[in-house]
Amino acid sequence: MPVIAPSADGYDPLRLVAERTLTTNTTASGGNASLLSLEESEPA
Amino acid sequence: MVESPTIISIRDRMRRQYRSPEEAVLDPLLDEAALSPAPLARAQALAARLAEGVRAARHKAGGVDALMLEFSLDSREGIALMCLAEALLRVPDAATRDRLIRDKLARGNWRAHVGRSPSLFVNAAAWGLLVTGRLVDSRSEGTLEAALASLLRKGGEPLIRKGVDLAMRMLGQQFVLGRTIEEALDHARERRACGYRFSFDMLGEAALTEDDAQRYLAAYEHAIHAIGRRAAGHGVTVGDGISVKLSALHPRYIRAQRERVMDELYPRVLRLAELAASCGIGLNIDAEEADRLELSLDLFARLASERRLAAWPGLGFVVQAYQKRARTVIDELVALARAHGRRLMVRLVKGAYWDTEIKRAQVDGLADYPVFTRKVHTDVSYLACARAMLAAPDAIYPQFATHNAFTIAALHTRAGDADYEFQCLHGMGESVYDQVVASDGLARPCRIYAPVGSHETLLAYLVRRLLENGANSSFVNRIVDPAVPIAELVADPVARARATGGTPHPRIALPPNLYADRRNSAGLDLSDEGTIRAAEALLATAGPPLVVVPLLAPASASPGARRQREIRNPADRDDLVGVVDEATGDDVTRAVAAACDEGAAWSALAVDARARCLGRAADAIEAAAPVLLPLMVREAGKSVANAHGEVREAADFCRYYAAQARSALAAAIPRGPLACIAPWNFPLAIFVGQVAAALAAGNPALAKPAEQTPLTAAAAVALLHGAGVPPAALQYLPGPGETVGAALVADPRIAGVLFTGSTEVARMLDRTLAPRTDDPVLVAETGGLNALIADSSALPEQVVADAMASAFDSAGQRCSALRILCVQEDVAERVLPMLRGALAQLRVGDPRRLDTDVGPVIDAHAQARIRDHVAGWRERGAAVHEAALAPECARGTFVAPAIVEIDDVRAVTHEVFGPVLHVVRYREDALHDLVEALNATGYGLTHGIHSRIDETIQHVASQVRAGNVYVNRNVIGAVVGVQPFGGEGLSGTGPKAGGPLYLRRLARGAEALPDVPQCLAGPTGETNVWSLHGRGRVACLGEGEAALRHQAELALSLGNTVVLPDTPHARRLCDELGSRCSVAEDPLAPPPAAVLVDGPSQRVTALRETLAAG
Repeated sequence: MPVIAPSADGYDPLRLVAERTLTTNTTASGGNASLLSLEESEPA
Repeated sequence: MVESPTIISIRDRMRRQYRSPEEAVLDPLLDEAALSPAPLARAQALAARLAEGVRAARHKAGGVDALMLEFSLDSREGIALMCLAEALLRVPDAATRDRLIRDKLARGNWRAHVGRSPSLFVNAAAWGLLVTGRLVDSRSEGTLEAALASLLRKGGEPLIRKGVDLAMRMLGQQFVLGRTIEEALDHARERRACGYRFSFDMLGEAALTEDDAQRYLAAYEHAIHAIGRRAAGHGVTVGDGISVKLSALHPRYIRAQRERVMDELYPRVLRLAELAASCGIGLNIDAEEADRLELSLDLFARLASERRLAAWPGLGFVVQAYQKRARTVIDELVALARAHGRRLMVRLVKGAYWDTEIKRAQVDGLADYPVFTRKVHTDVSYLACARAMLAAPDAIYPQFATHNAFTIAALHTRAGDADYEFQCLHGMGESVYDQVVASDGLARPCRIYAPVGSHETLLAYLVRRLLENGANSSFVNRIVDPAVPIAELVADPVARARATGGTPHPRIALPPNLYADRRNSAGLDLSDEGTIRAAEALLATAGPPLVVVPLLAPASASPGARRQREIRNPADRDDLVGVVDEATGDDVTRAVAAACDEGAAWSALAVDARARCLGRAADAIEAAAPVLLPLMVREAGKSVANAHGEVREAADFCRYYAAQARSALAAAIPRGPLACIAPWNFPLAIFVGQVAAALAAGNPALAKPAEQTPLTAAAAVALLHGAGVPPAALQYLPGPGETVGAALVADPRIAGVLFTGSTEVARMLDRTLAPRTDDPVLVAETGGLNALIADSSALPEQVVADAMASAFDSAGQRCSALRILCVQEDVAERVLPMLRGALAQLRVGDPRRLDTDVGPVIDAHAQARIRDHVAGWRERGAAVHEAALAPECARGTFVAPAIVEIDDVRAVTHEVFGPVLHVVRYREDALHDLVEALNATGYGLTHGIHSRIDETIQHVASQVRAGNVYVNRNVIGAVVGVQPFGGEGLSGTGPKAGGPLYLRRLARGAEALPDVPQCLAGPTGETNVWSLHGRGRVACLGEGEAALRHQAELALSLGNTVVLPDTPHARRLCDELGSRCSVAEDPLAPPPAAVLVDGPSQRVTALRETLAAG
């Protein structure tokens, strides 16, 4: 458990937040809609 | 079964083309594919006629083309319809079905789609209400939305459910010829009379268990008999045939299990081929993913060489034109046919796994794609392959599977009166082919590839086909779209490809170039024969034992006597991998001194110079893979794939932190020497990750590897030094935690500790650091009791595959590994047997063999602990299933991977770091309690959800306390910079490794926080959202009203709740700040998530010591 005291710059806000990463497989239902709907005709 | 020199040289050429640059592969195909001007003009005129014919016939067609035009992939309704179709029919319980229907139908703007399409079928599918009697006439749009809404409001769910269910079955009927082969043969009769013939496909997912494989085998045998009975001696070209998917015949149809494939799968496919031959029908080996191509070719070559099949003309193979190797596969098939004096049936397709291939190559970090990235390149490849097939009529009976009117016309023009047939998918493209097969049309036969099976299993497959063919850029979609001029439809692909110079699609980055600010690490392609041979050679040679010693800055070399420790291979205790001299207390003291003195030069270096140094280190680590892989395999018992995963992660850490330092730390001040205490389960990746972070932020690193894995760490240190990290900036102190680790952490000159390991050790570190008044950094990454929740809308095959990988990869020795699988009880009887069957397929053994799936656990201590845990469950009467151990397991510390069926998640109280998966069933209405119970464990690292219902996903994701939440995939293998990794509660302190905050914690004065939430760039087909939220309840102990107010406001502003000591002014503050603020007699009980404190340093220190003593 962090015990947070102020430094010269005050309290470090980073220590009062938790991070979350949400990873979603968007192809589970069977296809990659964003790839499949890419337009074909763009030149290089 | 590659035999003749011709075939061997063709195969070599094929291997070189596997992932060659697109331009280089395409270039020679352009001339081969091109038609000269006069035939081209004829082909285009014919194609235009065919396309116009399709457009004229479209209102009566009503197939997939019309459906996809109306519900395009870029509309919410199109996606919702697909999701519904994919999942609905397999969901057994009414509650989940209703939830799924509401989830998919409630939000779309369905009214907009009704009556717009001329196809009655499309409108029916849109509403799924045909049976309700309210939609007999598709133009009665006004009543529809109202009807649906009111039905939903009145709780008329059974009615809606039945209606949608029926619509889905109609959808199924449209594209599935029959639920049984007999039904399919009956339905085929009508079209046969029009000039069509069939190849039946017994659908389903790939087999994961032996039972599944046997069931599919029996289904194929039955189907061959049934087709044969009706074939009536038509012969293989005129008569109907069958298509066989090899992955259905064996649960391990992968390159790594080649021996089993040859020994066990081959006899099965041979049996089917013999049966087909005796029935006089054709049998076609279907194409699958690119990494299975050579395996399929080898099996096929064996079939082609069977003397008993020599007189049978029905042996067939499928070639996917989208593969860069396609044209060369044709060469091999021609050579194979000629070598055996037979004619093969070859179906040329464009390929059905394109998006999967692109995603896989990106996820695996491979050099390039096995497929073309532009459709037009595939079209060119197709025409080139077709020409080569037509040029070898003695060897090949061409079967051209395409829905593209230009391709059909071009082939018709090219082929003249050659002997060949077209093919199309059932339910797709018949409006083109009706014109082709008609005696007054082209009078060319067409074979329909017709799926057979229950609608429940078929729809998942179908959605794939719909998505591919319904994409806006697909021909099937464009041909019915009046906005696309006919001239555009019949454009010559060769001319179009020449115009782009064969370059890859600009929107599909090559896997090494996925990230804007750094290079992606390179993966190992274990489906490439050259790579496999090189890996085998590396693993076969052991070399003499390594000798490593502590690496201190030169001035501090210590002459004292050091204890030696032997490092033995956990898979084979007789294999001495190396000997390490362990650091002494004196070494630690001298090393810290050197870090403070000489190490300061590193801190003084410009950020850019440090970053460049780490960039060189990343390159060096990747280049040293041939040394690092066998070392990790032997020292840590890692599989080659896992070991290479570490090489990638280590390189990614170096490059990511280098990029982060450049962007966030330009003006920051380093903290000072950091102790980096690494675990044995990622002896390279986490070791390098900690060190690279410390160094990137300008802090000298004192690196203590795990006791069990000092050799890999020594190799990494040598590479970092070689890249220019000065000896005093990175010192290497191998030895036990109790002595070396403890001495390091107790040294007041270190500025902090980066630790990955057990929760118990993390607590001890916290206690050691607590008395210090200068607030040293402690970043601790510990364990988890990670769960995955699968509801009844999830696809059981995906659940099982992802649970298996999550629980048993690396023998479960990952912090992220799955410990508890929670399955909704309605599907448990389907999922759990499959899981047990998949467990029985694991090869547990020495990872020096490439076919090993699960290696040893790290040492005898771990082995005993895990075995005791499983034995304890057995004694308590839990059902336990274990995988078999290979004979060589007696030589090392192995544990049989186990599945333990339990009644309640609360019974799992602590992490067991090994291959043990607890499985629990839950009731549909108890999901919320389940999540609460999981949260109550106090851990919060990874969590998985498998569901097709967005509402359920959102509910679980927002309620579960876990640092990394994964939806519809496995829960392991977080990618640096893409999936910042780390937990909360008992699982760790944060910040997340490989995330934007990590370096900010290791220096003062970093740039301000990045914007949140952020979508982090990564491989296609996946979204990664990184966000910040409050830690929970924050106790504010500021002295005086102003200080207290400042603390409380800060904590609240960051999403926390606040608890204050019960005083009058605190109460006043609470009244003012609202309900997220409260007072308590003792704000420290129960323990809050964090404490804000001020005042003299003794006060702060005393509080830290009290809380750390816990």
